[in-house]
Amino acid sequence: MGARIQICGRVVVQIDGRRVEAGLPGRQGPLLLVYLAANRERTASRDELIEALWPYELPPRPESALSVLLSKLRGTLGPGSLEGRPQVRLTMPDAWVDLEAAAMGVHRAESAVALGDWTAASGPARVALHTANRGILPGLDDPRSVELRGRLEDIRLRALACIAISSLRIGGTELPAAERSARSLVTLSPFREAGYGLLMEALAAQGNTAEALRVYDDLRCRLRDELGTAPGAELQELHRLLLGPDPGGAGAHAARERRLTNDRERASNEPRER
Amino acid sequence: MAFAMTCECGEVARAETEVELITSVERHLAEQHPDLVGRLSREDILAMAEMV
Repeated sequence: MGARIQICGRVVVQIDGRRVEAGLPGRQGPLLLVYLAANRERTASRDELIEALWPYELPPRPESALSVLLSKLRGTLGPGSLEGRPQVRLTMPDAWVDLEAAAMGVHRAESAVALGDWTAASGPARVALHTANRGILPGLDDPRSVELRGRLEDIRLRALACIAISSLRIGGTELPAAERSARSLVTLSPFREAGYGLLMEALAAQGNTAEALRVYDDLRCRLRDELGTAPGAELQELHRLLLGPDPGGAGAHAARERRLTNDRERASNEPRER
Repeated sequence: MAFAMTCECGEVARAETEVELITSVERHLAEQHPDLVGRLSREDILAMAEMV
């Protein structure tokens, strides 16, 4: 059965079918597990762990307090689960960690989208989205927690884009999913033009051209008022096609093809934002 | 071990076992997302669910 470690949402550890997270001590125990599981591809120094566990106020003897926590974590996860003295690392190579599954899922989904394999993108993108929607380390505002939440938010936005694109291309009963995902993308990232384009196309594909045109106008006004600029050429072209005789048909499809190609080219040329 | 999963459409599935969860999700797909039937693997469904 192996180990499953869930660090997004409720912290849960299942080893050989048995829940063991109750053995994690206090508030710091789950936090230590989250930090080590989220960074298990590398070692962490004891100083780094102390800073992650007590970012604002150290306990009287932080080294001893950390040793106690590591010992209890090792006791909960089993022998051989942690390695290193000065440098610590979670060593459970066969363990499934939800954050890693989400990162892998969105990577698989983006690859499938790049290849135009829309149905292959559906499952992995949803694994990423469902995991990201649970959040991580709620209420903690220290830099390491904020950085971790930023990683998860990046996964969430990319998963929404994959679901919107793939659902749009699958069509049929998945068009509402395309609309919902694109709306979420627009809400979460209001200056990301690709989200508006996907929302406009999802609406037009469902026969709601007027609402699609209103979405464009919302973006146009937002860009004018807040940045003094206008929507990009691809979105303007999509808008023009939506005003034409076949707004939900081939014209919009052609514009989408062009924009997706441009998005892929941009994605391959630009560093990923964190 | 209990599981909960909120579908992207808002439907919530709860189950006590992995088998129950997969059955419940596959039923929901057939009823509400027929274009996705057969597209989500067992591993995907388990990975989408939250252990609660």
